[in-house]
This record gives sequence, structure tokens and C-alpha cells, in this order.
Amino acid sequence: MRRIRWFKYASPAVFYPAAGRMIPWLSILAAALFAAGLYTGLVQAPADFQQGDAYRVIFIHVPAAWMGMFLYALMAAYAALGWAFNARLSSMMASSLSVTGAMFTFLALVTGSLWGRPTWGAWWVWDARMTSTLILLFLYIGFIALQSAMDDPRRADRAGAVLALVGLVNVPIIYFSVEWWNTLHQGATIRLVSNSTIAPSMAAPLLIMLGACWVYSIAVVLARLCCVIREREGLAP
Amino acid sequence: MNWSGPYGLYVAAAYVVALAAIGIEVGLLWRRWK
Repeated sequence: MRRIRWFKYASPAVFYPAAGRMIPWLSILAAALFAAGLYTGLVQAPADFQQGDAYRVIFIHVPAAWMGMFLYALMAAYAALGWAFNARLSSMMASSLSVTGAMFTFLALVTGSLWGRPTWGAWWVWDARMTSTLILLFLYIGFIALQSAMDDPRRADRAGAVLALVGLVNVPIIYFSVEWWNTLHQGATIRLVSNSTIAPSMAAPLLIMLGACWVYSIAVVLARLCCVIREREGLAP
Repeated sequence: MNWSGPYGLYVAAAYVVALAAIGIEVGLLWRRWK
């Protein structure tokens, strides 16, 4: 059996063409998953017996919030790898992840606000889940601003890694905030270790939209990474 | 989904914002890529 030598992909020059080949297919898959998720979520899924149609914001709000947290953890892990092993592709990956993570966190806050107004009667409350998510957005913005402020990419990578690792403490705070504090925000609906409290007809579009957000994130992060590799390594497009 | 119902505008606004955010990200990336 032919073995794949994964470490060779740590070289930007080897990684660049491989990523370039994957981007069109991932984009098509993301578009198809978004179309399927929106159709099942907005057309096929039944209205909620208490919230009516207002709950349908869940199909974008929850995947966006999850992506905001996952991408931050991933960004911190790549930044740490780049810092510890002086692996420049890892640092470039962390920079590429930050913009998409910030976009999803912003989206989670805005869609949450649009869901909160009809159900809670308020656009915003300083509750633990929402405040910690706002801090996550500020951490993303701080990471992006810090990296943009430095001319030397290696120094920018190191400074960004410190900020990303310090800010990582906020991710479990966001996740467990609804259990640690008495918040207006509801608790977890989908659980991995115990029974979920969501009907399968509503869980299916939610999982499809989550898949769409994942594939979209991989596609745009790879595309941004290719741009960063081109700019830093001087590779031809 | 009843778009003309009491919650139609909130749900529509949420998905329009999502589309705009994704559109801006992809648009900026496309400009950088070219």
C-alpha cells in the first residue's frame, strides 16, 4: 500500500497546489449543502409550537456560534504549533482562520439579537453567554489588528500566538456559561453524551447547515491561505 | 415558513445578514485572489 507522506504538506510550496485543487470542489459542496439546509430548514421543518417561525433563526445562529468557537480553538492550536515548531504554514493557517472565525462570531451575535427581540423582547442583554461571545469577537479583532500592525510576519505570528493562547480560556467559558451562571440564554439543545432535546425534523436541517458552514470555512480558509502563501513566499498564482 | 407572519421579518433579516456577511467575505477574498 502506498503511504502518504503527510509532513511534505507542511511545506507551503507543496501545500499550495494541493489546496488550490480542493477549493472549487469544496465551494460547490458548500453551496449544495447551504441550499439543502435552507430548503429543509425554511420550507420542510415544522413551526415550533411555542415560538412559531421565529425559531428558524436557529439554523444559521447555532452553526455560526459553533463555528466561531471551533475556529478560535483551531486558530489558537495552529498559532501555537507555528510558534513552538517555527512552522510557518501553521502560523499562516492561524491568520487565515481568524477572518472567517470573526465573521461567524459577528453573525452569531447579530442573528442572536434578531432572535432575541421577538422571543425575549430585547435586542441585547448583558448575559454571560452573549457577553463572552462579544469578548470572543474582540479577541478575533485584536488578533487580526495585531498581525496587521506588524511589518515582520514572523514577529506578527509570535505576537498573535500569545494573544490567541491567552484568549483560548474564553472558549470553555462561552460553552459552559449557560451551566455556570443563571442566564437568559437557553442551555444546550444538542448534546453529544446524552439525549438531545430537539426534534429530528429540526435537528436534520441544523446539522446540514453546520456541515455547510464547515465546508464553506475550509474552502475560504484554504483560499485565503493560498493568498497568504503567495504574498509571503512570492509564489506565482 | 410564513414570511408575512409576525416573525417573518426577523427571520428574513437574519438570513439576509448571513448572506451579506458571506458575500462580503467571499468578495474581498476574490479581490485578493485575482
